[in-house]
Amino acid sequence: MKNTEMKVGILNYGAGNFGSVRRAIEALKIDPIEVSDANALKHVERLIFPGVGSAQQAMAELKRRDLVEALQGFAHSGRPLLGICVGMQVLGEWSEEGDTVCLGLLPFKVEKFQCDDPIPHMGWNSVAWSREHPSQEAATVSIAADANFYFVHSYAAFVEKDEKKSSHILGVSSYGGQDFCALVASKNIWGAQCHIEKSGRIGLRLIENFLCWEDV
Amino acid sequence: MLKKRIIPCLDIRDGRVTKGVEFKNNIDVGCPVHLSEFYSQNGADEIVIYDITASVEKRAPDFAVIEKIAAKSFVPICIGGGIRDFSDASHCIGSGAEKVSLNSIAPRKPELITEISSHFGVQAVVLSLDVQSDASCPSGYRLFINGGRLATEWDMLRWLEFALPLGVGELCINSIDQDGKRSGYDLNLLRLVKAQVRVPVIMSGGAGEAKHLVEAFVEGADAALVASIVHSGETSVQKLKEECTRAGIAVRLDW
Repeated sequence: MKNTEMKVGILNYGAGNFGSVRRAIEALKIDPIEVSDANALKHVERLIFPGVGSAQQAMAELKRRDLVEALQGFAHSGRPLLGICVGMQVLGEWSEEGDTVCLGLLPFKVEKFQCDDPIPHMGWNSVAWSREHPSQEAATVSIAADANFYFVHSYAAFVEKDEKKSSHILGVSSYGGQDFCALVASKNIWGAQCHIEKSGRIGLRLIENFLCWEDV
Repeated sequence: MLKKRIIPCLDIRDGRVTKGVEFKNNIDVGCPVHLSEFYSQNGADEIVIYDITASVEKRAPDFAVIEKIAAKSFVPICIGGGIRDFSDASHCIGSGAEKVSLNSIAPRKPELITEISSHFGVQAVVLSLDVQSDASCPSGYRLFINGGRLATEWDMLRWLEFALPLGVGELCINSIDQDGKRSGYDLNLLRLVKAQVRVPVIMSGGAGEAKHLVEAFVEGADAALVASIVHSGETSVQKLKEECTRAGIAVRLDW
């Protein structure tokens, strides 16, 4: 990273992959700021929002810590926000997991895989980039088409046929015959269903691309 | 498309990576932190670390080493050996592991499987089995514990039937007969297991060349554990993956 003075926050609300995300940011030579309440959010320029477990648990934790409105406010302020795994799922409108109302920052809903293949979908899978997406160029610096990322999840935001509802889809992956959003972005709000903090050099590169992204 | 995984396995004894044959006669291979970093940067899809003496010495895995490994290796990490209770598992995950592998403790304390998976999710629990062929068992295989030193009363398939519903995300099947022999995985064992389970199966014990991995993948293994053949330097994860690709197996080639 060129700008190592950047104030990058990582939301710590008890999610299991907080440590892995912290180590990934440190590998990019940035000293991240731990954000565990709404007040700390005011002091960061970009925020990474990790997540492991269920969307229901994650939303309950956010509510308990008075972070729901604070996160929505952060996103609306235009500062870049990146949700990872469950952190991405709760950026959407709703999750089938526990019938959970989510943050409503992006226009998708999350449902369980319906397939004969084993659940959770676990392992390395390729991601096809959406060519038309405005952030495509910024997100894919030094990342080839069909790059592989590491996934672990049982629920996903499936790709809808209605094109109006898919302008946020940055990358698509497929499992059990179902296409789902692997990466989403709408201006400053980004999300990765895959564990980019555990997807090797390519995952770290995607985090770096997020940290370098500027609204133009 | 979901890729077949190749997973280097690091057996740790006294802070060093070691490798034995049929679970015995261990030789020194190197530093676990350096080796994990090397493998993670050279195509390993995951790293498995077994603290092979922790269980016998009745101590927890070395959390400080896990932390050092996780700071350098940005692929999923699985820790096995010495996990005695929920707190050990929780410390492993807190130190940077994605998964814990339960072996000797599982038949003694099966409720631990449920305790860990209900908190961290089933994907965090790998059930690891050391099995040896035994004609007196209905499936033809007996479950062993304590690093293959102690036979249990469990027939392998009966054990799976009992343990899987407790909350297991993945299985790792180690063949004691084939361990370190480099003559191929026990494919008969793999077929038996695949016919019974739906969770991903990691095959372990006996890889000697790329052909053996291809055979296991064709028979339905989701991942293959490798140790001797990559530690000795006679081949590499990259070369193994190139061979798998030539044989039509989808593996991850970008890293």
